[in-house]
Amino acid sequence: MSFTEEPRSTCALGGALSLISSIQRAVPIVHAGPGCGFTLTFGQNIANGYQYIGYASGFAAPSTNTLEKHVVFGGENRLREQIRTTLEIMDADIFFVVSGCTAGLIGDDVRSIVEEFRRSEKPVIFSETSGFKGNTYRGYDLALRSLVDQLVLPAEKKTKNLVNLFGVVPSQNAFWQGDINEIVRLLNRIGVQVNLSGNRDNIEKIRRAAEAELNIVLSANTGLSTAELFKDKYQVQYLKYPLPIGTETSGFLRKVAEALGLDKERVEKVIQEEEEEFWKYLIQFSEAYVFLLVNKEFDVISDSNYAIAISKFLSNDLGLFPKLIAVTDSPDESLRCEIEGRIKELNYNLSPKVIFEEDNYKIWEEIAKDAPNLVFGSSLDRQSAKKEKALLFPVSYPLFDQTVLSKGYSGYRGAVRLVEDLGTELLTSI
Amino acid sequence: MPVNESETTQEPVSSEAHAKEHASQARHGKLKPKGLDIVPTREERLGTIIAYGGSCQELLKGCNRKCSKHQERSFSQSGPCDEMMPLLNSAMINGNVVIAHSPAGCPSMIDAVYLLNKIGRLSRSQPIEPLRFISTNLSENDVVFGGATELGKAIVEADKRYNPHLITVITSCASGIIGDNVEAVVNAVQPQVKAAIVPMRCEGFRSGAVATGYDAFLYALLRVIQKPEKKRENTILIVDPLTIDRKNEVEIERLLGKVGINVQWFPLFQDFENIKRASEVTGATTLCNLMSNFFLRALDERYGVPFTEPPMPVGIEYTNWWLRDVAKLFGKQDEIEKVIAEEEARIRPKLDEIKKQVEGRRVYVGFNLARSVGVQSLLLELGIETAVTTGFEYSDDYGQAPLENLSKRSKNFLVQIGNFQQFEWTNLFHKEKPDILIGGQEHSGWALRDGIPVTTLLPDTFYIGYDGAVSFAKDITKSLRNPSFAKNIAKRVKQPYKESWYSQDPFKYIGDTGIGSDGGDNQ
Repeated sequence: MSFTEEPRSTCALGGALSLISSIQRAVPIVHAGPGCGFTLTFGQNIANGYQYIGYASGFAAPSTNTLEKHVVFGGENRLREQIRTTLEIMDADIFFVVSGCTAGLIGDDVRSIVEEFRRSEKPVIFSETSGFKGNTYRGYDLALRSLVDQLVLPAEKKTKNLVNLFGVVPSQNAFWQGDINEIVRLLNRIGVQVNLSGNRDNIEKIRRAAEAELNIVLSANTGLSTAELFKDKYQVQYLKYPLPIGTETSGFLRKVAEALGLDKERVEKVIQEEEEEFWKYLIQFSEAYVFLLVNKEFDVISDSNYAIAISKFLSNDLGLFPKLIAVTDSPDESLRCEIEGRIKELNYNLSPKVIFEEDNYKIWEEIAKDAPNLVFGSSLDRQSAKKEKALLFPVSYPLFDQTVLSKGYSGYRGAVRLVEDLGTELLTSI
Repeated sequence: MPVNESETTQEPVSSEAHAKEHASQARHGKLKPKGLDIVPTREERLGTIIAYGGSCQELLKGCNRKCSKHQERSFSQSGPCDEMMPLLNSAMINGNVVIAHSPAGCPSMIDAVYLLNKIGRLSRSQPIEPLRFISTNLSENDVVFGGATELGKAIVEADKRYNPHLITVITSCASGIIGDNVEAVVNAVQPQVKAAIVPMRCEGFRSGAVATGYDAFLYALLRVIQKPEKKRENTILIVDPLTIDRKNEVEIERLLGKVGINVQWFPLFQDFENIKRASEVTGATTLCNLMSNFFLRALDERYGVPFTEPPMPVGIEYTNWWLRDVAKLFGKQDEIEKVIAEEEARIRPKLDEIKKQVEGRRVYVGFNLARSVGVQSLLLELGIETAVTTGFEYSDDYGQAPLENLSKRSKNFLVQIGNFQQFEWTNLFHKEKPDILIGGQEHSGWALRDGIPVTTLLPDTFYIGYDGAVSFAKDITKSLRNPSFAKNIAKRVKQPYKESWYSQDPFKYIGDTGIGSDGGDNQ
């Protein structure tokens, strides 16, 4: 990897902790230096809409706090002791050992230590997530795959119309709860039940996840290795469809309906009702649109999820002009062509420039060239946007100049919310 | 000069005599760092402990240095590490670019202090510049083949992009274990780079005491502090941590101004020029003697700057203490007594008025010890009892004198020393049932969720000096008036501990169980 100015994600351990914080009654056991658990949670809470999330995150996260002597002599005994005492004192349904740089570099055999606790009353699982293994998305993937591999039970039969969702990384998407809730609401409306949603799943749901008829990966980059594991190990097929915003959601619902063989008429009726409500609000917005949005050009700095969703929504639904889309989650080379293709699924031959770049300086060098009116980025971009005389609309990590609780921008209702917030940002910036 | 030996000469101490005096003070340990810029850990140098739970009296009686029982817990939770202080603090030096030689996760914490940066700059009428930082983004490939080349490139690029005066290079667990020679990289690229490059050796695993990170940060700055061309008479350098903002500085300037002492703050929110010229002052002190401990000695040793390290000036008594020590450096003992008398006469009635509303309450004080003791002193002036006080680490060097002072003035209280360890806090909240918690960001959220209202002391809180005492005392009365939020949420919070934990000794996991490390090295 090359050096990166103001990285747009944390590290693999950060991704693993982010996943754990989204699961009910799951306690991480961090096998790493003393600061990792705290730094990553502190960064990912505060710099992520000031959300305190997780059952035992931040200072409550058990941690071996590796010191020099462990680095010199090995940290395995310390890990064993820490797992034992954690089981003694903490009340949880899942104990999830995640390792950091120190453990990875000194070569502690985490697997065999965890193995010793196989017979404990509550499951102890592990994932090797040293920070240097990659960014938050990669860590989320590694940990989710480990979780599925070690906890999901083989299913005797599939449950009709039951699905699992994954791919929305809580610490990277500040709107994760709102976004997931809207998708779950819509799936329920077309007759689909959601087992794992990615928002406060519990041990029972995890254990029976192989009963699902279909997995839906709400990302073009994240969660794919887990979906593959499900397919190979538990015979659950998957549908990859990045998080939709606006009328793109109709396409999403149709794809799900097709994959599950749902009653078409019922699904179309739901889509019609939802679109009607959506457009009703957008019609109400049309006067504000006249003042604020006509002919506006925009750039996006975001992970592939929001890069795709925002580009399509603003171009295809709102009639704005995409210029530069900077994708910041460093997707594997093999995925980039597809992600660029999805970003460019736009009406009227609109064709923005797409770059895959995480270095903030380089991103802004590009943005400065095309002087957009609007930049959909992170809190990091506020000052730079000001300098370029563009309005910054904060959507991506890190997000430290707003608090986020329940709101999301996905689906139909999220899209309406996005338009409301965008209008407000534009009005207050005048 | 050590605060508890205040009965010395009335004359300002000459720097030479001063240096000698310190050289002879074996109890401060050896100042000479191990390598070129590797500071000794606090544990090595001061016998600092990071695990203690018990009464103040017992702590003073004996549990002391080199006591391995107090270096670890068999159950621990995540807390601060050595890398944090260099990372966060150097980001707050004006016009600096921070290079974290680490995977991208380590510097992610900087994103969380943007708010503090904004508060710090606004309160000093400085433009809000973004914090500049670059991660070398160490990958699996780098940890095998080394990350030195990438570090060199990052430094050169940082210089090109921002033309800064200063570039600080922060090391991490990963860069330390793979053995990248940061010093060699810095020496190799310095000729191509206009900025002064300052490496800070602060691998997260080095020390359990977060203040070792302060030492690494401040000591490294000595690389750019120049030999003084001239001395600035009656000017004092004051080391001020990130958590004490401008209005507190203004209070100190007001008080020292009355006796003709000018203040040069150091090192946060300062231009590079002020850092370079830090040695021109004629005395030095600190608002946080836990932070500045190593640096003030090193500055004195190198440039003969006499210093004093009184406890944090919170409340009347500790502010008096602080002012007296500082005035003595400049031979202004008589003048300061006049100021103290005036201020006390003005402030005491105000505090007494507030005392009527809060007297008899019991609180939990949640800070690092240097601040905890200061706040406790103010609490005593308000008739408030401390149930528990905390520190992230303890050393006699800065802890003994104020704790002795407090124990003479108050009932015995519990002391929890830990690099956080929230499981002990929650146990103590349940057992001690304090009326409120007075704390920083670290403790406050946890207290609220356990149903305890809080008085927060954040970077924009005014609490230093005499006027600060009144302002903060008013904050405390408010927290006692409406505890609704804490009471409401606590009913619905399930903490991640077994019910049985709350009936056990909060400190049962302190001490070496003998299997803490492989190879039998348990000291």
